[in-house]
Amino acid sequence: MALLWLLIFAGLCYFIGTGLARLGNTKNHEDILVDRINDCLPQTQCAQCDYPGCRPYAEAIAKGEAGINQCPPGGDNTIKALSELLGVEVIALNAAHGETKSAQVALIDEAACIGCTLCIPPCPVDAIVGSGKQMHTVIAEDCTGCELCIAPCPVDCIELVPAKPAATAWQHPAPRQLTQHQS
Amino acid sequence: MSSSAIHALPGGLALSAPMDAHIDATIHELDLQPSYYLPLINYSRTVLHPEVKSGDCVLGGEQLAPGVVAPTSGTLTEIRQHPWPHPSHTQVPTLVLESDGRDEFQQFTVIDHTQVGVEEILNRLENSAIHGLGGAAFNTANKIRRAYEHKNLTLIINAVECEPGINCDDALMQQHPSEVLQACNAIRQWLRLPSAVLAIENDKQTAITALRDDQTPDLTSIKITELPTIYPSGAESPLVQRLTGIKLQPGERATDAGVLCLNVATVLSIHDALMGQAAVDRIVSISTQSLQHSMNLRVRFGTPLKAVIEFAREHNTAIEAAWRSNTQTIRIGGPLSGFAMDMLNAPVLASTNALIVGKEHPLNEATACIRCSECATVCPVNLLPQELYAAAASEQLDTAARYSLDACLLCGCCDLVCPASIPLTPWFRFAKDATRQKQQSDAAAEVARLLSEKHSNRVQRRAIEKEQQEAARRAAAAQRQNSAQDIKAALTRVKNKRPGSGS
Ligand code: SF4
Ligand code: SF4
Ligand code: SF4
Ligand code: SF4
Ligand code: SF4
Repeated sequence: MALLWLLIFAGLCYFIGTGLARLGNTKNHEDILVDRINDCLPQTQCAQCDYPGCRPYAEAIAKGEAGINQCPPGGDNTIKALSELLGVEVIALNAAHGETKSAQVALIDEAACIGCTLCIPPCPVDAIVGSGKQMHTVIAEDCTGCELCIAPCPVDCIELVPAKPAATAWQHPAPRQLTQHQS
Repeated sequence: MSSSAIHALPGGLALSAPMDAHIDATIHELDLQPSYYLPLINYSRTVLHPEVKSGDCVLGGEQLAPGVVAPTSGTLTEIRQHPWPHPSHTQVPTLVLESDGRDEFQQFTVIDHTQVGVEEILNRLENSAIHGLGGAAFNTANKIRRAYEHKNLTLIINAVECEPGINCDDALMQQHPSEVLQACNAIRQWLRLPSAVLAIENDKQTAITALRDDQTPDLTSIKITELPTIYPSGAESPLVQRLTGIKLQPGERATDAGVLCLNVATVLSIHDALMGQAAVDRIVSISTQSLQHSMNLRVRFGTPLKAVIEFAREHNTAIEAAWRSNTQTIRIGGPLSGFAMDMLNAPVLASTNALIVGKEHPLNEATACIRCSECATVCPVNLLPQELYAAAASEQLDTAARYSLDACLLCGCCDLVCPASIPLTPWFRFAKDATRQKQQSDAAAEVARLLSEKHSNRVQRRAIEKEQQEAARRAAAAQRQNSAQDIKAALTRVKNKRPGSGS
C-alpha cells in the first residue's frame, strides 16, 4: 500500500516537474523571440513606435499586437530584417509614426544651459551628464539622437546635429542610383 | 635575371599603356603656390584636430595636425570648409596656408638607425606625416609598427605600378635610380634584413636598366625582380602571392603574414624623414583620357588641382587639347581605380597619384548577367564576381560576405571583361560601404541597448524602492492611526465606564 502511494507521489512529482519545465521553456522561447526582434531594432529608444522603447515594441510585435512598420529610425532596413526574421511581407513604413532621418546626436549649447537637470530623466541611455546648477553636456558616443531631451529643456538650448560629418557619413551609392542620377 | 621564382596569379589582365604612348618621364617642378589647402581629415575619414590656430606663422615641415605638416613656410589664414579629393564630393574643415615666399623649413636632426630605438624612428615618421604614396595613403608608421613585430620579416619594395596611366614611380626610378636604391638599402638595414625585393613590371625597361646600371656600392642586397605586365600585380595581396606564394586570407593584411610592402616613392619619403628632411610632396602623373600622352610633375601636398592642370596644359599640347574636350571634370587616380572630380580647387594629397583629363567614354547600358563566368576567370583573388554582384544588387550583405566581398580588391578587371557591361566594381564599392555602415550601426545599437537596459533597470529599481518606501510609510501611518484609534477607543471605554457619564 505504502509502495503504491509512493509510486503515485513519484508520478505526480514527474508530471508537475515536466509541466513546470515546459512552462519555463515556453517563456524562454518567447524571450528568445523578443530578443531576436529587439536585435533588428535600431535601439534609438525614441518611442515613436508608440511603445516606451525598442524592447517594449519588440514584445508587442512578438505578441502580434504591433505591425513591423512602426519604427522610423530603423526605416526600410529594420522592416526588411523583421520581415526576414518573422517570415512576413515587407511593407512600407507607417508615416504616422514619423520619417527616417539620417543619424543625429544632441548638442547642448553650454553657454545657454541653466543647469535645471530637466533633460536628464528622459534620456533613455543616460547620455547627458551634469548636476544641479551646473552646465550639462551630451556624451556624443552614447547619444542615440532620440530627441526626448529636446522638449523638456526650458531654455531650448539643445539642438540636434548630424552624428558624423558629411564626408565621413558618405557611402558609395548603388550603381542604379548612379544611372538614375546621370539620366 | 630575377632571383626567385615568381608564383602565378590566378587572374588579372594584361593592360599596358598604348604601344605608341608618349610618356614624358621628366619630373617637372611646380612653382611655389600662393596658398595651400590642407584638409583636416585622414584616409579613414576621421576628422583631425589642428594643433595650430589661424594667424599662426609656421615653417615648412612643421606638424599642424596629426598626419598633416606644412608644405612650406607661411601664415595659417583660416580654417574653413573646402573640397577635398574624395569621391564623396564633400567639403571638410581645411587649413589654409598662405605662403610667405621664403620657403623656410624646420630643422630636424638626422636619425642614425644604429643608435636609436625603433620607437624613435617611428615617431619621426609619425611627426613627418609619412603616408603611403601608392594610392591608399595609409599611415606608414602604423604599417611598419605592425610588421616590425614579425621575426621572419620580408621587405618588398613595390615599384610594380601596374595600372595604365600612372607612371610617377617609373619616372622617379628613371630620374633618380641611386637615390631610390640608397633609400631602399637604408630601410633594409634599419629593419636588419639581409635582403629586400624591389618588384617592377617588365614593361618598364628604361627604369630597370637605370637601376641595374647604377654603380652605388653595396646593392647586391636589393633584388630587382621583374614581373610580367599583368594588372593588378601591384595590389598588395596579388603582389605578396606572386613573390612569396603566401595567399592572404580575406581581411588579412600582408603585415599579418610578416610581409612589409612599401611603395618605392614612400621608401624615399621615409629616407628623407630619417635624414631630417621634410617629405611634403609627391610626383603626380597627368595623362590624356586616351592614355596616349602622359607627363609627371612634382607637386607639394595642398596644391590646388587647378594649378597642376594649368601647368600640364601649358607644357603639353595633347593635354591642353584633351582638356578642351571636357573642362568640367577630371579623373583622380587611374582609369580603373580612380573617380571623377569636378571640384578643381580641391588639393593634391598623398593619395593623388594620377590625374586624367579629357572626355570619358560613356558607359554601355548594362544588360542581364548571362552567367558566362568571364569575370571569375579574370578575378586575381579567385572570387565569383557574378555571385557577389547578385548579392550586392539585392542588398544581401551576408551573402556577399560569404562570397568574400572583403577580399575584393576593387581592381575592376571583372568590369572590363563583362559582356553584359554590368558595373560590377561600383556594386562592390557600394556593398563594402554598406557593410561597414551596418557593422558600425550594429555596434552602436548594441551599446545603446545595454545602456537603455541599465537605464530602465535603474528606473524600475527606483520605482520598486519608492513603492517599498511608500508601503512602509503607509504601514507606519496605519500603525500610528491604529494605535491612535486604540487609544481613542480605550479613552472612550474609560469615559463610558465613568459613573454618571452614560446618562
Ligand atoms: S521607434 Fe524608436 S523606440 Fe520604437 S523601436 Fe524604433 S527606435 Fe526603438
Ligand atoms: S541626449 Fe537627448 S537625444 Fe541623445 S539619447 Fe539622450 S535624450 Fe536622446
Ligand atoms: S534641460 Fe536644458 S537648461 Fe536644463 S540642464 Fe538640460 S540642457 Fe541645461
Ligand atoms: S574587382 Fe573584385 S571581384 Fe572584380 S576582379 Fe577585382 S578583385 Fe575580383
Ligand atoms: S562576366 Fe558579366 S555576364 Fe559574365 S558571368 Fe560575370 S557578371 Fe555575368
